[in-house]
This record gives sequence, structure tokens and C-alpha cells, in this order.
Amino acid sequence: MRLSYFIILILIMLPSFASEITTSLINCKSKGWLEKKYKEIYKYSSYRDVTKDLKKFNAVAKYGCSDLDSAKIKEILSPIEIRGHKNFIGKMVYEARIAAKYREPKHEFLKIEEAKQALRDLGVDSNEIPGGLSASEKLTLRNRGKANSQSRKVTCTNKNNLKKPLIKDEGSLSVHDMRDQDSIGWCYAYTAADLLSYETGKKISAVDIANSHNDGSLEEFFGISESNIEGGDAAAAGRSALKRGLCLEKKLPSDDFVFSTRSKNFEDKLKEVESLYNQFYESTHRTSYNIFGTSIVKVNDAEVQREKKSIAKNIRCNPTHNDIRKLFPNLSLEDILNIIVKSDSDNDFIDRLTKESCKPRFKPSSDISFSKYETGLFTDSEDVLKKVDSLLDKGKISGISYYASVLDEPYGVNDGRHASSIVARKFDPSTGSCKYLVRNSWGTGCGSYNDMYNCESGNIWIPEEYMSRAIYRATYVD
Amino acid sequence: MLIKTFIIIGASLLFNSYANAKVECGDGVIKYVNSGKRLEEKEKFCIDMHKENKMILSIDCREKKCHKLANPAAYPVDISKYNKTIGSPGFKVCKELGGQPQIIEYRLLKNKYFTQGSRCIFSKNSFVSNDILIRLWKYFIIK
Repeated sequence: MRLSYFIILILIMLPSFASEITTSLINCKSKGWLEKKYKEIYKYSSYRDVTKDLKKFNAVAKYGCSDLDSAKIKEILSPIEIRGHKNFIGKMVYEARIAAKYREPKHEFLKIEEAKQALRDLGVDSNEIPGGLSASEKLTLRNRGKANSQSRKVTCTNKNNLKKPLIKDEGSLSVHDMRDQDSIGWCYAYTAADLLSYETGKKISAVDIANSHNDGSLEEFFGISESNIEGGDAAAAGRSALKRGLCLEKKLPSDDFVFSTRSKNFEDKLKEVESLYNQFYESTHRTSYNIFGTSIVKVNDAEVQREKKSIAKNIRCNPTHNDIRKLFPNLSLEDILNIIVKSDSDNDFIDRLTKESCKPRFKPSSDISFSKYETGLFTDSEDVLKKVDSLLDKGKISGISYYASVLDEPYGVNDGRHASSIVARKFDPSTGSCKYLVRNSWGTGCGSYNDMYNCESGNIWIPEEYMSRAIYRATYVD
Repeated sequence: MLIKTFIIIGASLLFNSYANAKVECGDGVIKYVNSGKRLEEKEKFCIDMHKENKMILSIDCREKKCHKLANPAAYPVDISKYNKTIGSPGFKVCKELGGQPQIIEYRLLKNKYFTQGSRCIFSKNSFVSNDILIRLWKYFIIK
């Protein structure tokens, strides 16, 4: 919390620094980007080393600025580099005290010394270099961390609860069968799909879960449309899917190219489906006036049939409306037209399309229900992680809601609500940490994650000391 | 001009840190889903056998004919407008670079199993793994 206030204070002070850089970048083609990047780097320098960020910033400036005053830029950026190292020392002192709750803070001690050396190399006077930790405190933290790590080793038993269909066989090897949510914010649907897949042994369609995750919920009551698929609750989405019946991934693939075409993404396409319904509704309903006021009445059947033909032509000929065929590839044009006539609203239209697009749906053979455990008045993030531990101990996996910033900026402010699953746990003797295997839905790549983490085909081992600050909910199947 | 040349060489060396990892090229098959249909295409491409995960790239990108990859500093991107959604960063970078992201499975004909991945298609026969993009653009992104 203190760090958040500090960052806000720095951002308030920022304009005075920013005006200097703006003046220096007058003739730069990437001026807008450079100004924004400068502010971002300045924010990072409040808690970490920004040497590499500044080198690359310089590279962009040198490439894109016709008459760059390199000396002036160096004059502006040099204090930020120094600031980054100094603040990083402070940050590592803070982190060392937290880390000692879990393990020996060897990593933090090393980073403090590296940052001090970097400041000496930059010519900073030794009087101005932060002292870091005293020898006695280092010893205390080392001993405390060692003892806590030894205790934790007993309870952090190695657990690997991955099974099909989250993994698949390649000869004698088992490899991860990863999911990729594209650039759409439907992580909750992928998490719910993974939990259901795990329970049923069948790969469940995530897009089917996202299509009507707010079906019949409070959001629908308050008029939030079905196309608002970005951001949701994994447990609510899972319950909705169970009620409707589950759809297999092979029937309704979630990794369809049509969702990531250049101009429009999935949410935009759903909005077009809604507008198609609204167009039909307006053409087939009239406002009626009488002594009691106004009411909406449906036109006669002949007019409805005429409008159906018009919609059919629209879908066939208009590329925008033709997308509805791509979103629901298992439905014929006739199916879509019949559904549009029966629907009561645009939300209802999408719900019905979703239900019809996957047939037959299946119900799990045993009763499955979703539960949540989250931070609140009497529970904190560490309690949530303990819940995850107990689920792993029972041979289960857990959906998690957490701040995605932990994936690449573990020392930064918590930011970016996200959902994934924790599928395994291990004790790492090289660091003394208990680590959790996070199964993310960003595909098999590892480039998005912090170099500190071990990555296996898009799954990341995140140490407990970072996960315990970022997690706020566990979602699981009973 | 000299500075630009050094920058290009530097970026190429950075790219080479991936290109110099073991790279296998040849005829292969790429699978993907389009409008519910599962499609397969035969193409020539390369696979970068990085220690953490494999990454696909087209032949011309291996030979540095992908102009954008040769110099990320010339094409910095801003993906902060996507912040309200937590989707794959690589996909967002691809879109900002004018590419078309695509989730795929691929294998060289000499290999038995398909590898999951995603690519950023710049034009026909010119593409790279979204993971290569995110690694090259790491410091040239506004988040």
C-alpha cells in the first residue's frame, strides 16, 4: 500500500520531468511513443533497475529522431538510471524481509550488492549509495529464512496433478496440451473449461463457456450484453455451462482463426450479432398508442416472414453479418433465422445460438459443482494459497484469480486481473522456495514471463512468496 | 547513418541470439481452425529449438528478410489500449505490427508429433512465432 502511494506521488511530480524529454524529442517520428515510454520507465525506476529499458529507449530515439541531442538525452536519462538502482536497493531490502518468511533471502542480498556496484560504476559517491541491510539484520534474516524454508519443505510435498486432457501422450512422453486465449479477455472461460475438462476427462470448449457466461445472471438483469465477454467469474461461468450442458472443444473450437482476424476480434463480432437482432426487432415491432399509453406490438406474420428474408439476404451478402455463420459454424442459415424469430432480446438471441450451436451437449455422469474461496474480511491471500495447497493435496487442481503483473513484474504494483489454474507444486532445494505450476492460457510461449521463473511450454513455476501476494481467489470443482 | 547501421547490426545480433539457437528447416505441415473447419497446409518453414519452447518462423524470417524483425527499434508498439483485457501479449504485439495472429499446430515432415504454438503472419510465407516477437520487442513495448 505504501508503495502505491509513493508511485502516485511520483506520477504527480512526473510532468516536470516529462516536459524536459518532450522538448528534446521535438523532431522524432516516434515522439508520442517515446514520451509515453519515458513515463513508463520513470514509473519502473521507483522499484527496479531500468538500465536495459533506457538503452532500448535510446535506440528508438536515435533511430527515429533526426536531430537528437544525445548529450541532452543522456543528461535527462542518467538520473533515472541512478534512481532505479537506488530504489531497487530499497525494494530488495523490503523483499528480503518478506522472503525470510519463506526462505533464505540469498537472491535479494545478491541483488543489493549488484545494485551498489552498478551505482559505483556510474560514479555515484559512496556516501550517496543506500546502505541496504546491516550485517546483523542479514544474519537474522538468513537464519529466519533457513528455518522457515525447512519447515515449509515438510508441507510443500511435490504434487503433479496434471492428467488428460490437460496433457497428451507423445509416444512414451506426456506433454502439456495448452490453451491460447488470443488477445481476448476471456481467461475465466478457459479456467472454467480446464476445471471441467479435468473433472470430466473430456476437453471442454472455452468459447462455449464465454458465449453466454452471464446467462440469467445479475449482469443480464442489469442489461449488460452478451458481447461483454471480456472479464468474468470462472465459477459463475462454469455453473452456467453445467446448467446448459457442456460442449466439447472439438465441436466448437476456441482457437478459431476467425476470432483473431486483423480488423475485428471476437467481441466485435458478437456485437454485430446483437445489432443484427436489434435490426430485426425494430423491423418487426411497432409502437402502439392507446388511451392507456404506449406499448410495443409485434407486426403480423407476413411482415415477419418478409423481414426474415431480408435478414437472410443480409447474412448471405453482407460480409459483416456473414460473420454470424463463422461464429456459429454448426448452424445453418435456416437455424439462425428460426432462432431470431423466437428470441426475446439480443442477449436471448446469442444464448439460443450458443445452445443450438453445440448439439448434443452432455451432462457429466456425476454431480459437479463450483465453489470459490476468496480474500475477504477474515481471509487473506495466504489463506487462499493454503486452500490451493489443500486442493493439491487432495489430488485436484485449482482455478485461481490473481494479478497478472506477477507474471512479468513481480516487484511492481498488483495490476491486471487474470485467471489461470494451479496444477502442481514442488519444493525447489536450490532456492528453498515452495513453487506452484501456473497453467496459463497464453499458449506455449515463454517470452511474456519474468526471467526469474522456470517456464515449461507456457506453464510457469511461480514461487510462493510472489504468488501469495498476487492471488485473491481459488475456484474449484466439488 | 553510422548509428543506424550499428543499431541494425545490434538488432540483428539480438535476433541472432534466437537464430543461432538450433534451427531446423524443411517441408512441414501447419494445422489451424477456420470458421469451425480444421485445415492443414503444407509449407516450408523453420523451427527454433529454444531451450524453453519451440518457435516457428518462415524461411525468409530466418534469413532476415522480415524487415520489421531486423530492427524492432524502428517499430516500437503500444499495447496499453488492450489493458482492459488480459490476453496473450504476443497477439497484441502482432496486431500492432500489422500482422495477423493465428493459433496453430505444426511439424516438420521428419518429425512425428505436432507442436502447439501461434504465429504472426505478415504476408504469405512470411511469419514468426508470437513468442519470438514478444522476446524481440520486450523493451520496445508500452504495456
